[in-house]
Amino acid sequence: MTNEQIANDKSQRAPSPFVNFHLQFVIFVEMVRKQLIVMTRYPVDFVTSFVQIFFMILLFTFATIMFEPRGATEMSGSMTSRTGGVMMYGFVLFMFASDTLWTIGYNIREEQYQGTLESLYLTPASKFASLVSRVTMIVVWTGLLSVAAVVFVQLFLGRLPFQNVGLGALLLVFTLSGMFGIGFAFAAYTLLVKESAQTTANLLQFTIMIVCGMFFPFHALPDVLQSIARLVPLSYAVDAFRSTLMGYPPGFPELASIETEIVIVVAFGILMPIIGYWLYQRAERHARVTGSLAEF
Amino acid sequence: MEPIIQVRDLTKVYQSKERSGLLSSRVKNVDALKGITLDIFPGEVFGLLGPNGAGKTTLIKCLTTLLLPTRGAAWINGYQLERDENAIRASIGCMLMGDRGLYWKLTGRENLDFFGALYQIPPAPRKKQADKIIEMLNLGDIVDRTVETYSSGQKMKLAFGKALINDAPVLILDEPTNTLDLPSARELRTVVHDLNEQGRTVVYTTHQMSEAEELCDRGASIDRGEVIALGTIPELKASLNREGVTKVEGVIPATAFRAVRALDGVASAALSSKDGAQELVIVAPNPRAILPQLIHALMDNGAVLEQISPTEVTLEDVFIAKTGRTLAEDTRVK
Repeated sequence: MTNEQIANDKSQRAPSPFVNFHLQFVIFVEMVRKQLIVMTRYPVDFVTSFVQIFFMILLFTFATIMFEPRGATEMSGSMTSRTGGVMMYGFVLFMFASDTLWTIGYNIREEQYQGTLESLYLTPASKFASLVSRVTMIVVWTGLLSVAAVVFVQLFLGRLPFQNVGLGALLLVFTLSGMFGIGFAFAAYTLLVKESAQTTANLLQFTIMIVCGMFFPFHALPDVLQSIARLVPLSYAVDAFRSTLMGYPPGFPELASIETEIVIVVAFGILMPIIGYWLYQRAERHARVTGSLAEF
Repeated sequence: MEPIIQVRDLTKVYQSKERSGLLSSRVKNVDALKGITLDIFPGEVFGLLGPNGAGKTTLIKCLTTLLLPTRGAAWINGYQLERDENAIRASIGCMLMGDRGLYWKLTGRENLDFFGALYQIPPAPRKKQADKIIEMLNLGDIVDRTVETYSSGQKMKLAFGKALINDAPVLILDEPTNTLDLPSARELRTVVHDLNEQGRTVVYTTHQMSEAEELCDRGASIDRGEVIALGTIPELKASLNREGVTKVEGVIPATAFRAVRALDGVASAALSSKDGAQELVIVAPNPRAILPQLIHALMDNGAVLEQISPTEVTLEDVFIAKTGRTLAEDTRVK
């Protein structure tokens, strides 16, 4: 029997897609567990990230109070203003965006330095699972921090507008999925440009903060930037998420009707991971052609 | 016997950028592998031999799916490169990056466990295999410490252990003793020998010919991306049987070296420096006959001779005879 015949014979005995999915899921869990162990080996990072978030919330809370027409005294009793909702819910999405958009790329780069990226590529483990696992723990951690942040704000300053929780959560899931997709695309970019990815991320981070109106309503943007914002799906995710949780007060959502925004966010959540992963595979192939997988 | 690894006309061309100014650059093709063809049979230790930059690691990276070849084909364990990548990955154990490739914030045991999981090995057999590796490599005292606290030799050992975690029939080891001290290197070679005795096929790259002579059944000498000699170690040495090797130690100026190379009856000669002393290796069909002219050529050109001696043929001599260069030279294609 020739080698080719042996290979054909073996491929006929390949596990079913379901078994394969189960095996890859088990690997994904192991990868997440590894990330968790590594996180616990940096206890100072763990504690400071927790404390830091509350200081950031205080910063945004004071900024909110400054813009609150009724003044700080009334605010402390009942924080029902649009300003508070816009800033706080924007801040929650910003935290998730910070984790998902760049962390996958940074992590890939770090593994290139360590030499572990090639080690992973020597195994049959799923690359998709490998990408997603890099941020899973951080996203869970950010989720817990977000809940803690909301509770903290409510205890400290009074109630935030908090409605349509189910739809809000669904929008968050699709938004996160879309952000993962951008994260895959950024990881692809990192494989291509290596060190320069960091400076690009710095630039993009601020651009996204502005164009996606994370900390202010879109009507605060000049017309040109508003037009650009309408071209970015993440803007609709931000607008839909906070408008939904605020119970659609007059003027919200700002970019389109909520129905249109939901369609855009769902499409973003479904298509962006596919596009991002496709881009990552292209970059990975390029790295395997040029030999840059292990370059650092 | 069907080869366990078949390589046919494997070619790798890199494109490298040459800077020719502040903003301008020129793309240049670099032929890292030039149509490599070889077979490796089950149960043998096969040495890929050659100096730094010869193309050994490029070949290994192609075979382990880290690099995509430009042309050619290869089969490992019956799986075809590029078509059955995951099957190939699952059926080989690799040590490629020396002590890199480990998670420094994990302990040795956690590293073994994690990489075992990536090969889809269930927890119980994974633990059993890790324990076996820990015992085989005497890692017991350090295995529950984080890797960042290991010496570089300990990291190399653990990296070698990682290559064994999936208990694969084929082991691919790229310069595994590179940063090890002599006793540790000897210990590791003994383990490789034992694993081979248990039936594993080993592909072992090295630029130390003495190591290859000790360990390998067969080998391929690679230089500038080409196989220049292929066969069993005795066959490779026998290819110089009708020739003799003379070694000259001392201070040998370049003019003296050139004069020796120009002598009638000298097949090839190579000059190297080791520990501050120079060594000239001369391969000639009849070394005794050329000895007087050899001494004259050296002395007339200002050489200071400390020792001239006929020696047994080594694999390094075979390399010198084929290429006219020593293994100490970096032959990376620039």
